[in-house]
Amino acid sequence: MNDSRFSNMVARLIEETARGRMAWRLSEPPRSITIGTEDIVGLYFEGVFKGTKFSIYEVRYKHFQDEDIYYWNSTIVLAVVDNDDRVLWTQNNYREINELYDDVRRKASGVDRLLDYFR
Amino acid sequence: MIALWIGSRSMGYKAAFYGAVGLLIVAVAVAWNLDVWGSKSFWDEANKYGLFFTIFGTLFTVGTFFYVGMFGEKLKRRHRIPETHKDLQQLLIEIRQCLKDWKGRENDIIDLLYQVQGHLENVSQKLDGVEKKSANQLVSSIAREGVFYIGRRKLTEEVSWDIQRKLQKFVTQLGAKHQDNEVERL
Repeated sequence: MNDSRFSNMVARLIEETARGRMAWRLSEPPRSITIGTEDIVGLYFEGVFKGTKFSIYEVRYKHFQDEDIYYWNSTIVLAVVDNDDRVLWTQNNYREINELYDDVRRKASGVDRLLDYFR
Repeated sequence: MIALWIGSRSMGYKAAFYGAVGLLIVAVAVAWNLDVWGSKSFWDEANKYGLFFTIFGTLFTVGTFFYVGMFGEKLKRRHRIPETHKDLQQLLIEIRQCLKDWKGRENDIIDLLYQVQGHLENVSQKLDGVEKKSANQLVSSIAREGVFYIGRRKLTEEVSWDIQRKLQKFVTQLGAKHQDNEVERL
Protein backbone atom coordinates (compact mmCIF):
# COMPACT_ATOMS: atom_id res chain seq x y z
CA MET A 1 0.00 0.00 0.00
CA ASN A 2 1.27 3.48 -0.87
CA ASP A 3 2.38 5.67 2.00
CA SER A 4 0.83 9.09 1.53
CA ARG A 5 3.62 10.82 3.48
CA PHE A 6 6.10 9.39 1.03
CA SER A 7 4.20 10.83 -1.96
CA ASN A 8 4.21 14.22 -0.24
CA MET A 9 7.94 13.98 0.41
CA VAL A 10 8.76 13.10 -3.20
CA ALA A 11 6.48 15.89 -4.42
CA ARG A 12 8.55 18.24 -2.27
CA LEU A 13 11.78 16.89 -3.76
CA ILE A 14 10.29 17.51 -7.22
CA GLU A 15 9.55 21.12 -6.23
CA GLU A 16 12.99 21.72 -4.74
CA THR A 17 14.63 20.22 -7.84
CA ALA A 18 12.49 22.25 -10.24
CA ARG A 19 13.22 25.48 -8.38
CA GLY A 20 16.95 24.75 -8.36
CA ARG A 21 17.16 24.60 -4.59
CA MET A 22 18.24 20.98 -4.61
CA ALA A 23 21.17 19.98 -6.80
CA TRP A 24 21.69 16.43 -8.04
CA ARG A 25 25.09 15.10 -9.01
CA LEU A 26 25.70 12.25 -11.42
CA SER A 27 27.97 9.69 -9.76
CA GLU A 28 28.99 6.07 -9.73
CA PRO A 29 26.62 3.68 -7.98
CA PRO A 30 28.04 2.25 -4.74
CA ARG A 31 29.24 -1.34 -4.83
CA SER A 32 26.63 -2.37 -2.29
CA ILE A 33 23.95 -1.93 -4.98
CA THR A 34 25.73 -3.70 -7.83
CA ILE A 35 27.58 -6.51 -6.09
CA GLY A 36 26.11 -10.02 -5.97
CA THR A 37 23.28 -9.31 -8.40
CA GLU A 38 22.60 -9.48 -12.12
CA ASP A 39 20.68 -6.22 -11.97
CA ILE A 40 22.04 -3.37 -14.03
CA VAL A 41 22.10 0.09 -12.51
CA GLY A 42 21.61 2.91 -15.03
CA LEU A 43 22.20 6.57 -14.29
CA TYR A 44 22.81 7.18 -10.59
CA PHE A 45 22.26 10.63 -9.07
CA GLU A 46 22.86 11.95 -5.56
CA GLY A 47 21.45 15.03 -3.85
CA VAL A 48 21.03 16.43 -0.35
CA PHE A 49 17.81 17.74 1.17
CA LYS A 50 17.52 18.88 4.79
CA GLY A 51 20.77 17.11 5.71
CA THR A 52 19.67 13.77 4.24
CA LYS A 53 21.54 12.32 1.31
CA PHE A 54 19.22 10.92 -1.34
CA SER A 55 20.04 8.95 -4.42
CA ILE A 56 17.86 8.14 -7.38
CA TYR A 57 18.67 5.56 -10.02
CA GLU A 58 17.24 3.19 -12.56
CA VAL A 59 17.57 -0.55 -12.01
CA ARG A 60 17.09 -2.95 -14.89
CA TYR A 61 16.34 -6.46 -13.74
CA LYS A 62 15.35 -9.84 -15.14
CA HIS A 63 11.70 -10.60 -14.62
CA PHE A 64 11.34 -14.36 -14.71
CA GLN A 65 8.14 -15.84 -16.11
CA ASP A 66 9.45 -19.37 -15.86
CA GLU A 67 12.74 -20.99 -14.85
CA ASP A 68 14.42 -20.10 -18.16
CA ILE A 69 12.06 -17.52 -19.59
CA TYR A 70 12.55 -13.92 -18.59
CA TYR A 71 12.32 -10.43 -19.93
CA TRP A 72 14.11 -7.28 -18.88
CA ASN A 73 12.17 -4.82 -16.82
CA SER A 74 13.16 -1.62 -15.10
CA THR A 75 12.20 0.43 -12.10
CA ILE A 76 13.27 3.74 -10.64
CA VAL A 77 14.51 3.63 -7.07
CA LEU A 78 14.76 6.45 -4.55
CA ALA A 79 17.17 5.69 -1.73
CA VAL A 80 18.58 7.28 1.39
CA VAL A 81 22.33 6.77 1.66
CA ASP A 82 24.80 7.59 4.41
CA ASN A 83 28.10 9.44 4.04
CA ASP A 84 29.92 6.19 3.27
CA ASP A 85 27.49 5.57 0.39
CA ARG A 86 25.77 2.69 2.11
CA VAL A 87 22.16 2.36 1.05
CA LEU A 88 20.05 2.63 4.18
CA TRP A 89 16.56 2.65 2.70
CA THR A 90 14.98 2.30 -0.72
CA GLN A 91 11.58 2.84 -2.24
CA ASN A 92 10.23 2.30 -5.75
CA ASN A 93 6.99 1.87 -7.68
CA TYR A 94 5.74 5.38 -7.09
CA ARG A 95 4.57 7.60 -9.91
CA GLU A 96 6.22 10.59 -8.26
CA ILE A 97 9.63 8.84 -8.22
CA ASN A 98 9.49 8.40 -11.98
CA GLU A 99 8.59 12.07 -12.36
CA LEU A 100 11.49 13.08 -10.10
CA TYR A 101 13.92 10.89 -12.05
CA ASP A 102 12.87 12.53 -15.34
CA ASP A 103 13.33 15.98 -13.79
CA VAL A 104 16.74 15.10 -12.36
CA ARG A 105 17.95 13.79 -15.72
CA ARG A 106 16.61 16.87 -17.45
CA LYS A 107 18.42 19.16 -14.99
CA ALA A 108 21.63 17.14 -15.20
CA SER A 109 21.61 17.17 -18.98
CA GLY A 110 21.38 20.96 -19.09
CA VAL A 111 18.79 20.67 -21.85
CA ASP A 112 16.83 23.59 -20.35
CA ARG A 113 19.70 25.99 -21.07
CA LEU A 114 19.81 24.71 -24.61
CA LEU A 115 16.05 25.10 -25.03
CA ASP A 116 16.21 28.62 -23.59
CA TYR A 117 18.65 29.46 -26.37
CA PHE A 118 15.89 28.67 -28.89
CA ARG A 119 13.15 30.51 -27.01
CA MET B 1 -49.50 -7.87 -18.04
CA ILE B 2 -49.45 -9.29 -14.51
CA ALA B 3 -48.75 -12.72 -15.97
CA LEU B 4 -45.81 -11.25 -17.94
CA TRP B 5 -44.46 -9.48 -14.87
CA ILE B 6 -44.74 -12.62 -12.76
CA GLY B 7 -43.16 -14.69 -15.53
CA SER B 8 -40.08 -12.50 -15.47
CA ARG B 9 -39.63 -12.79 -11.67
CA SER B 10 -37.60 -15.35 -9.73
CA MET B 11 -39.12 -18.39 -8.00
CA GLY B 12 -39.22 -16.57 -4.64
CA TYR B 13 -41.34 -13.76 -6.09
CA LYS B 14 -43.66 -16.23 -7.77
CA ALA B 15 -44.16 -18.21 -4.54
CA ALA B 16 -44.87 -15.02 -2.56
CA PHE B 17 -47.30 -13.70 -5.19
CA TYR B 18 -49.29 -16.94 -5.52
CA GLY B 19 -49.31 -17.34 -1.72
CA ALA B 20 -50.74 -13.82 -1.25
CA VAL B 21 -53.39 -14.37 -3.94
CA GLY B 22 -54.40 -17.67 -2.32
CA LEU B 23 -54.71 -16.12 1.12
CA LEU B 24 -56.84 -13.30 -0.30
CA ILE B 25 -59.21 -15.77 -1.98
CA VAL B 26 -59.58 -17.78 1.24
CA ALA B 27 -60.24 -14.62 3.30
CA VAL B 28 -62.89 -13.37 0.84
CA ALA B 29 -64.57 -16.81 0.74
CA VAL B 30 -64.72 -17.04 4.54
CA ALA B 31 -66.05 -13.49 4.88
CA TRP B 32 -68.66 -14.09 2.16
CA ASN B 33 -70.13 -16.97 4.07
CA LEU B 34 -70.20 -15.15 7.36
CA ASP B 35 -72.94 -12.72 8.15
CA VAL B 36 -70.55 -9.95 9.02
CA TRP B 37 -71.08 -7.35 6.35
CA GLY B 38 -74.00 -5.68 8.04
CA SER B 39 -72.52 -5.98 11.53
CA LYS B 40 -71.51 -2.69 13.18
CA SER B 41 -68.99 -4.38 15.48
CA PHE B 42 -67.20 -5.86 12.46
CA TRP B 43 -66.76 -2.43 10.90
CA ASP B 44 -65.62 -0.95 14.24
CA GLU B 45 -62.94 -3.65 14.48
CA ALA B 46 -61.98 -3.18 10.83
CA ASN B 47 -61.65 0.59 11.43
CA LYS B 48 -59.27 -0.02 14.34
CA TYR B 49 -57.06 -2.27 12.22
CA GLY B 50 -57.32 0.14 9.33
CA LEU B 51 -56.17 3.03 11.48
CA PHE B 52 -53.29 0.98 12.87
CA PHE B 53 -52.07 -0.06 9.42
CA THR B 54 -52.45 3.48 8.07
CA ILE B 55 -50.19 4.89 10.82
CA PHE B 56 -47.74 2.01 10.44
CA GLY B 57 -47.70 2.40 6.65
CA THR B 58 -47.10 6.14 6.87
CA LEU B 59 -44.19 5.70 9.29
CA PHE B 60 -42.76 2.94 7.12
CA THR B 61 -42.99 5.15 4.02
CA VAL B 62 -41.28 8.07 5.75
CA GLY B 63 -38.54 5.72 7.03
CA THR B 64 -38.03 4.24 3.58
CA PHE B 65 -37.90 7.70 2.03
CA PHE B 66 -35.09 8.80 4.38
CA TYR B 67 -33.25 5.51 4.01
CA VAL B 68 -33.30 5.75 0.20
CA GLY B 69 -32.08 9.35 0.43
CA MET B 70 -29.19 8.34 2.70
CA PHE B 71 -28.32 5.39 0.53
CA GLY B 72 -28.32 7.58 -2.58
CA GLU B 73 -25.99 10.05 -0.90
CA LYS B 74 -23.64 7.23 0.09
CA LEU B 75 -23.63 5.93 -3.47
CA LYS B 76 -22.85 9.39 -4.81
CA ARG B 77 -19.91 9.71 -2.38
CA ARG B 78 -18.55 6.32 -3.32
CA HIS B 79 -18.59 7.11 -7.01
CA ARG B 80 -17.72 10.79 -6.98
CA ILE B 81 -14.69 10.62 -4.64
CA PRO B 82 -12.60 8.15 -6.70
CA GLU B 83 -13.52 9.96 -9.93
CA THR B 84 -12.54 13.35 -8.52
CA HIS B 85 -9.39 11.86 -6.99
CA LYS B 86 -8.32 10.61 -10.41
CA ASP B 87 -9.09 13.94 -12.09
CA LEU B 88 -7.24 15.94 -9.44
CA GLN B 89 -4.22 13.64 -9.63
CA GLN B 90 -4.04 14.30 -13.36
CA LEU B 91 -4.47 18.05 -12.87
CA LEU B 92 -1.75 18.02 -10.22
CA ILE B 93 0.70 16.47 -12.69
CA GLU B 94 -0.24 19.06 -15.32
CA ILE B 95 0.15 21.93 -12.85
CA ARG B 96 3.60 20.67 -11.85
CA GLN B 97 4.62 20.38 -15.49
CA CYS B 98 3.58 23.98 -16.05
CA LEU B 99 5.36 25.13 -12.91
CA LYS B 100 8.59 23.53 -14.04
CA ASP B 101 8.46 25.73 -17.14
CA TRP B 102 7.14 28.70 -15.26
CA LYS B 103 8.14 31.41 -17.74
CA GLY B 104 5.24 32.19 -20.03
CA ARG B 105 2.91 29.52 -18.67
CA GLU B 106 1.14 31.56 -15.99
CA ASN B 107 -2.11 31.57 -17.96
CA ASP B 108 -2.01 27.78 -18.35
CA ILE B 109 -1.61 27.47 -14.60
CA ILE B 110 -4.54 29.80 -13.95
CA ASP B 111 -6.73 27.73 -16.29
CA LEU B 112 -5.73 24.55 -14.51
CA LEU B 113 -6.31 26.11 -11.09
CA TYR B 114 -9.85 27.09 -12.09
CA GLN B 115 -10.47 23.49 -13.14
CA VAL B 116 -9.18 22.36 -9.76
CA GLN B 117 -11.45 24.86 -8.05
CA GLY B 118 -14.48 23.47 -9.88
CA HIS B 119 -13.68 19.93 -8.83
CA LEU B 120 -13.07 21.02 -5.24
CA GLU B 121 -16.34 22.94 -4.95
CA ASN B 122 -18.19 19.92 -6.28
CA VAL B 123 -16.52 17.28 -4.12
CA SER B 124 -16.48 19.33 -0.91
CA GLN B 125 -20.28 18.84 -0.63
CA LYS B 126 -19.68 15.12 -0.39
CA LEU B 127 -16.94 15.35 2.23
CA ASP B 128 -16.84 16.02 5.93
CA GLY B 129 -14.23 16.56 8.64
CA VAL B 130 -10.60 17.21 7.74
CA GLU B 131 -11.06 16.65 4.00
CA LYS B 132 -13.90 19.18 3.75
CA LYS B 133 -11.85 21.75 5.66
CA SER B 134 -8.82 21.21 3.39
CA ALA B 135 -11.00 21.46 0.27
CA ASN B 136 -12.52 24.73 1.45
CA GLN B 137 -9.11 26.17 2.38
CA LEU B 138 -7.75 25.26 -1.02
CA VAL B 139 -10.77 26.75 -2.79
CA SER B 140 -10.39 30.00 -0.89
CA SER B 141 -6.68 30.19 -1.59
CA ILE B 142 -7.24 29.60 -5.33
CA ALA B 143 -10.11 32.08 -5.38
CA ARG B 144 -7.94 34.66 -3.67
CA GLU B 145 -5.32 34.21 -6.36
CA GLY B 146 -8.08 34.63 -8.93
CA VAL B 147 -9.08 37.96 -7.42
CA PHE B 148 -5.43 39.02 -7.33
CA TYR B 149 -5.11 38.13 -10.97
CA ILE B 150 -8.22 40.04 -11.98
CA GLY B 151 -6.86 42.98 -9.98
CA ARG B 152 -3.75 42.73 -12.21
CA ARG B 153 -1.64 41.32 -9.41
CA LYS B 154 0.18 38.50 -11.09
CA LEU B 155 0.14 34.99 -9.75
CA THR B 156 3.69 34.44 -8.54
CA GLU B 157 5.77 31.29 -8.85
CA GLU B 158 6.03 31.10 -5.06
CA VAL B 159 2.24 31.21 -4.57
CA SER B 160 1.67 28.66 -7.34
CA TRP B 161 4.08 26.20 -5.78
CA ASP B 162 2.38 26.76 -2.43
CA ILE B 163 -1.03 25.93 -3.96
CA GLN B 164 0.51 22.89 -5.63
CA ARG B 165 1.77 21.70 -2.24
CA LYS B 166 -1.69 22.14 -0.69
CA LEU B 167 -3.26 20.34 -3.62
CA GLN B 168 -0.81 17.46 -3.24
CA LYS B 169 -1.82 17.19 0.42
CA PHE B 170 -5.52 17.26 -0.46
CA VAL B 171 -5.15 14.61 -3.17
CA THR B 172 -3.42 12.41 -0.61
CA GLN B 173 -6.26 12.95 1.86
CA LEU B 174 -8.85 12.19 -0.79
CA GLY B 175 -7.05 8.98 -1.72
CA ALA B 176 -7.04 7.91 1.94
CA LYS B 177 -10.75 8.74 2.20
CA HIS B 178 -11.46 6.60 -0.83
CA GLN B 179 -9.53 3.70 0.71
CA ASP B 180 -11.47 4.11 3.97
CA ASN B 181 -14.74 3.96 2.02
CA GLU B 182 -13.61 0.79 0.27
CA VAL B 183 -12.73 -0.85 3.60
CA GLU B 184 -16.11 0.21 5.03
CA ARG B 185 -17.85 -1.31 2.02
CA LEU B 186 -16.07 -4.65 2.50
